[in-house]
Amino acid sequence: MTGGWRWPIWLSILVGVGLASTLHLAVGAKSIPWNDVWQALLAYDPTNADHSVIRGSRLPRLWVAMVVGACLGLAGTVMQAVGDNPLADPGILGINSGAALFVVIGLLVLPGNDMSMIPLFAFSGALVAAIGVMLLAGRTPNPVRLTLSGAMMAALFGAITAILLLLDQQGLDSLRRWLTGSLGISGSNLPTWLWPYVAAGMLLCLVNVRALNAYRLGAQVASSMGVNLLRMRLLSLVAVVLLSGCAVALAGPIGFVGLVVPHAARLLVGHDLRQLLLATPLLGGLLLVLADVVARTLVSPYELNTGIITALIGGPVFVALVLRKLK
Amino acid sequence: MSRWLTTPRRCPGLPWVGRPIDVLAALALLLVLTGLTLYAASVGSYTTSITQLWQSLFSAEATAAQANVLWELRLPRILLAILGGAAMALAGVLMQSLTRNPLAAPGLVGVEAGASVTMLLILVLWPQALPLSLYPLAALLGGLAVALFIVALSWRGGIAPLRLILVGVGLTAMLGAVADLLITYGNIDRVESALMWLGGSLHRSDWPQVQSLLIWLLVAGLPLLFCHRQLNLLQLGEGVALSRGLNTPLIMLLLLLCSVTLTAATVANIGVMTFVGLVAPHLARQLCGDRHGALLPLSALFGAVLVLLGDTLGRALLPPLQLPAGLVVAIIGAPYLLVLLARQRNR
Amino acid sequence: MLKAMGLQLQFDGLKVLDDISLTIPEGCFTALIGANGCGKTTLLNVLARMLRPASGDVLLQGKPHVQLSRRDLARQIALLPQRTASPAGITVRELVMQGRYPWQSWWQQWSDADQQAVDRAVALADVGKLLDRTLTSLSGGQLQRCWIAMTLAQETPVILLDEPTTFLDIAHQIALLELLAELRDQGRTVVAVLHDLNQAARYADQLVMLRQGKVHAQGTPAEIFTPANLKAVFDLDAHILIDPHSGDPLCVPASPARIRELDSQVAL
Repeated sequence: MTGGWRWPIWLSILVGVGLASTLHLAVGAKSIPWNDVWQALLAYDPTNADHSVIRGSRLPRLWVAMVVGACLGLAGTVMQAVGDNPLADPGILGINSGAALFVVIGLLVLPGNDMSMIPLFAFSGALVAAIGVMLLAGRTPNPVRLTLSGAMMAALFGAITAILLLLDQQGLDSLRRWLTGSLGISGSNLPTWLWPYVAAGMLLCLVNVRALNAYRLGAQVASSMGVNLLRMRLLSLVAVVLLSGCAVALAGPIGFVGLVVPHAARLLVGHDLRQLLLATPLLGGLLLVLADVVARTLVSPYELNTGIITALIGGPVFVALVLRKLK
Repeated sequence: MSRWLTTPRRCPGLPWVGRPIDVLAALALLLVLTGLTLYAASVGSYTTSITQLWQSLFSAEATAAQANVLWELRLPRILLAILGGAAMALAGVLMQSLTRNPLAAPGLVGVEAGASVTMLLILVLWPQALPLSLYPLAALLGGLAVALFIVALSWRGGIAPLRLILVGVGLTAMLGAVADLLITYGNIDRVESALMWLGGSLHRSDWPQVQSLLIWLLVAGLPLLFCHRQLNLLQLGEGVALSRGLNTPLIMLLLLLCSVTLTAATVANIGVMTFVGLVAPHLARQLCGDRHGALLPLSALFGAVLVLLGDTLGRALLPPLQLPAGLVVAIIGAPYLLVLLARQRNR
Repeated sequence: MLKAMGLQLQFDGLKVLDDISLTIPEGCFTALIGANGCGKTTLLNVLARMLRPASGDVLLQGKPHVQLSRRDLARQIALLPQRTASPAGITVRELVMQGRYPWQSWWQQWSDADQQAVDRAVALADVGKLLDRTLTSLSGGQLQRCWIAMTLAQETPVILLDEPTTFLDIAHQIALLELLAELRDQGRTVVAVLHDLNQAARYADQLVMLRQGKVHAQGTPAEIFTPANLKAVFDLDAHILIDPHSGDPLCVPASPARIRELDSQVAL
């Protein structure tokens, strides 16, 4: 069952990440040649305009893309493992919409620019959405019921968000872009208050690994092997809430990453969750960085929102998955 | 007494069977609808009293302004709300019964997404391309095209409910991204009016729209009321239905087409109202279960009440701001639905 | 009466029905038996025209049944599938009434003939006391009897049943089989897929043994209920006893472990 560690694949993944990152730093409204990029990273020259672009705006954006992609990929893997549902994803199941709604409420309600409370709003929104979906889906959630519950929750949260934005016309313009998943908003002020939560979410995933692996054989078998199902589900819920909440707080609701990445990872490294939990953050970061490159270059010098790109790619992938798996 | 009400009985001489309690429920809903209509006609930024309403309707004594408000503004709006609500509710019953899933909404097969994207494309990119009167038709065609695409994609010798639902979800998400694209990068004024329209809003109601929706409702909605036996049989399982002599693939396709047409017509004329199609059938099911003979008309009545209520509240709550009816219905209906489904989750 | 000729059907490359030809005699109770996956349910579905065979015909009264309209076929053949759904809010009365669908139309939705048919079906299946209960409130045995009543209300000369006894306890199984025998006595043709061999041997007039998509044997229980056939079709070592009371054949599986135990006791 454990095919060992396929070193060539891991190597390719790491190399891929490296290449994508460099590409990300090089392209944009102004194309910067590769050796300049390397120089900016290794031998930073503050007076060079290109270097300051790279260090000042592109590097942070690269970081955000990698972190958001990693969080979403991990959240999707855990959701698919716990829910036993190959179609689970924080976007499809409405968790992103819930987090986004609460963030909008936070932004409209909180005075000033106190951004450090925003992640807490995102987490509460994600939690409310997750609980709502679980309540709706019932005791034995089959994939269809879960997907439909998620769609309903997403529609509900979307409706409330739309009303709020109608009530506050000013808010409409600035939040419009964020609501479609944009990596550019966080910009240069990297939210350092976010890292502890991301780390906590990832740690919870690691703690849960053995239980999740055992759960692949079914709930009853896992239980008879000594897995504490309640603890596993609770830890997973908290992990998903933290990870997707952070992703939404950083870049707005971006969907389909959590769907596509676990499937791609499974094709590359197999079903063992220990390897999956290592591969998905890397692949998630890779996917989002590439999506961001596309978003920035497709209609240059304008920028498309990354969330739109992931939906345009992820939608067909989802449909292809459905058509292949449901005979 | 309650036994008498709930046993199916036959009107002597007529070839139909029904339960008296369903007739009572329908009458009660009609009463509620009438009352709501009167209230809606009288409320607004130009308040009218009942006597003034009566005068505008029936006698020649009313002032021109009063008559104008009633006939040109409120009456079409009220009628459009009633017809749209009934159409969406019927479409919702069909989707839920065809897929045998209580969470299926009419927008599942991408009609709403298709119509929205078509309208957005027109409103934001090419506002001069089509005359105003053709907008509903364009939205209708757009919605139908997407729905047929999804049905074709998930076709497997017939309509496979599981595949249909999931393919619909995926493609709707994609179309949502396209819509987001247009919303984000379009001119903000046009986008705002598009958003208002997308929220399910009746603020541009006029008589041609009422006519158009009435025709579609008669064409695609009225025949449904006579298909209740087929729908009942489908609920027992496709195998059972087939062996009783029901041409299952054909009937399912026809019913799906009716649902899609009703949804597209509603979206084209009054925008997106997803939750009506979800909530109204559930409300009706509380009264009559899955017996489609009663479920169809009762859902239509509930749908009409919901949309009219949503529109009236949207107008009356925070004047002069008008909240779109679709969003108000979503906020009222969704928590109710959540509670209802959470309680039923063991099924 | 009902004749299958050369039926072939494949699913995913597997031959489920392999050149099946058999005759279902009129007015008899025919039981289809065989191991899991041998094609019993598929055969039943093809006979009822729920599935189309890749080749071959099914003849009803000498004419291919594909020539009949759905409704006419439903007036001749009624099928009760294995799994059925129980929608909310439907009472037993309404379920049985729906069995009259093939006899109704848009303008003639309910008539005296329909009412009488329903009353007869209810009496035959003995569900008169359950008429106003909802489906979800019934036990497994009661629910199955209500489904039988619905199938009976269809008033067809041929009744096909797919594993009607599966979810019932033993007393209800016997009661159901007695009902099927009574239907046979009334002149209807009954075909049932049964998984209990002894019940099939006792109640059926004709047995059809299916093995891997082919008809292995067809005949009366006395003729084909033999250890050789049981070994071939079910891979079962068994003895055949004759029930002293009814004269029906009974199969008793051999148990090598038990025999060895007895032998070792004797040896001591």
